[in-house]
Amino acid sequence: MMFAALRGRPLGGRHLGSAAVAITDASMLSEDDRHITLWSLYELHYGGFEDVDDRWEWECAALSVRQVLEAELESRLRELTSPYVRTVWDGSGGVAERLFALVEQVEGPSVARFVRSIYNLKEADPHTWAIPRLFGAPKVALAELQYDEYGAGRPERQHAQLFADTMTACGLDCSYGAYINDVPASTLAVSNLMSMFGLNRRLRGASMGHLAAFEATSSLPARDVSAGLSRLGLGAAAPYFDEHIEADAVHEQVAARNICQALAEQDPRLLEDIAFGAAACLMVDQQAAEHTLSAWRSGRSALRAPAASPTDDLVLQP
Amino acid sequence: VTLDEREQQTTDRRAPEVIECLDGPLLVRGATSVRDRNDDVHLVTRPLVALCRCDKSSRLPWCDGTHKLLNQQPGSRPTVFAVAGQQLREETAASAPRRTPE
Repeated sequence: MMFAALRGRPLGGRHLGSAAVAITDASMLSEDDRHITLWSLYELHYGGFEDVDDRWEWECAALSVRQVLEAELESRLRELTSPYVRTVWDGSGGVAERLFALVEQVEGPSVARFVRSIYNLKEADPHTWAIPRLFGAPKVALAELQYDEYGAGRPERQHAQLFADTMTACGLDCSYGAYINDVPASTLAVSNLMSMFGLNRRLRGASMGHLAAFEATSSLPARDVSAGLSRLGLGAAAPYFDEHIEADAVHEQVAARNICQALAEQDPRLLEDIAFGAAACLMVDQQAAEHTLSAWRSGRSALRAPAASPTDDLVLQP
Repeated sequence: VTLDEREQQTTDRRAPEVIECLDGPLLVRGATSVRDRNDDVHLVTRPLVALCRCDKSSRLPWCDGTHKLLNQQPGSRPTVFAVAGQQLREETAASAPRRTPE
């Protein structure tokens, strides 16, 4: 229904009405449907779809559906993460040390960080939304980190491009969103969480906490994946992971110290959301990893059944 | 400001900046190369690099996050890196001035 509506003309501020989409309660949708809907609505703010009018990005009807789904996701995660947020709040030492301690406390299976093209092909973009929402030292630190993510002036070194090269080396389709109908809700949630934090200025603290936890769970797993790829004769796929060993050893320090700690010093009210964002990142990653690993352990694919095609094949912009 | 002073200021501005991370690596901004204890020169390709201080990295001289797996005593840092113009030279802790941890 949602996707049929998006193919039509934007409504110029009018509501979609009962004939089209009226998602007023997130429980109307299954978890898979909630996440694919949210992912598609967020996509309007990134690359868009070939067969969807770009004006849908700021269409009230689409935004109101997004708000309903975001409210459900946020409140569920606030509840889930509250004990961990408390440990950061009550912790001693600098904010950076408290964030590293949180990561150590919650960090799940490290497969979480890397097996998800749904995010990696737009790597770094969700956190970039925060740049104009920060000021002073944290803003400068985030801009420096993102500059590195975007290849430090060299297009071929952009992390999203390196990931595309890795997918190609593994015989996978690296066109953006190629597997969107195949991935389970738990994988989409990883991407949706970042977009929700990034696109809501109110949640800028959570976005930066998310970044800190994300970067702090990257360099060691990247080292293991790189070694594994080389062992399996897939050395051509390793440069992306090799890059992340060194880049994220830098980024985890910058994100925790120069961004989050500096942000909390600048505005202590943001500390709670910084902790929330970090804990939410770890828990959503953990859920995605558990889903994947339990499927693999029982000899199944972690992907959805091939018949399902929830977006009804909206065509992503190349 | 004399020409000599101006030249000195310019050189200072171009010198790499070193930031010490508590129980973590040294961050170096603006270096073009790093010289390790074997006198091997490693080119710097990113604006900010992290230099290993636990000596257990798999990608020396760069940090790979391994220090997080060690139960390191605060202050037990085997090496520091001294800034030398556009280059950094790794020296033993005994022969180089220690920076105060932040």
